[in-house]
Amino acid sequence: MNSHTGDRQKKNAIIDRAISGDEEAFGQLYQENIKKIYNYIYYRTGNKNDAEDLTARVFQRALKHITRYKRTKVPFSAWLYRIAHNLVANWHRDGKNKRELPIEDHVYIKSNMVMPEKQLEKNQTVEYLMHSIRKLPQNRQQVLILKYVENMSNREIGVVMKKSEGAIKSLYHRTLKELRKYVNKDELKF
Amino acid sequence: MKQKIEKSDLEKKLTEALNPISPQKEFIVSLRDNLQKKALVVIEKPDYLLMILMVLSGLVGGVLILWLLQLFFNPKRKEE
Repeated sequence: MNSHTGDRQKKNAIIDRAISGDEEAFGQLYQENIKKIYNYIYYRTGNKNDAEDLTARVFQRALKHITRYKRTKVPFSAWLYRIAHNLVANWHRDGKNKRELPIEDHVYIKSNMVMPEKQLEKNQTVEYLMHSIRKLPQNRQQVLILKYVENMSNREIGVVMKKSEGAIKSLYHRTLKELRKYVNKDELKF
Repeated sequence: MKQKIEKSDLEKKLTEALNPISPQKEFIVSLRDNLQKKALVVIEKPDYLLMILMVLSGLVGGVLILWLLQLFFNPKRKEE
């Protein structure tokens, strides 16, 4: 038995315990996934308050419907991403996405030694890029976030989005093509 | 005139811009606490057997009362 199979069995055991109502097991699943789900929602909504609100709802829904999870036959995190995607889609549909994206929240300073000028330049780059990303259809935004924020492979993204690896690859290339068009336009404005 | 952004350039910019961020610790802790509190709430399902028994006993009781009333107000039958 290799370590990969062992890990999977361990995870399945935790999920089984969570399904049978073990709070500690659900807590473990929560700790493993909270940051991923928050990140995904944060980049889809663009603000901290909605990200926190929707993240809470994802886990509340997961806890409520955990018995349904087994039927999906996908990794637990993929199931959570699907819940998150549905909630974000409803949030966009309900028109709660009127708040502007606070740019300072988006800038992740990798080093404290970044010079102000450089930082300003980076802020601007992020600003026009995020502005352009938001113009994309939801499924294209989803591909970009899963790929760049969550560092997922095309196969993993395919599991979340219920598409084949090839379909994701092609969607990704079309996304870049469309994004390039918007970025070029936005860059001229800035 | 600005040069058009090439694909590799764009991917580089995306890598720089889309960085994972961490939610606040307080949020993580409070949500975990809330989820655990929720788990403590017990949803009581209605006891269908008890309901059926109550309805049946009501029906039987009703029939019994009607039968007794019929006996009481129908003396002819008694005389026969």
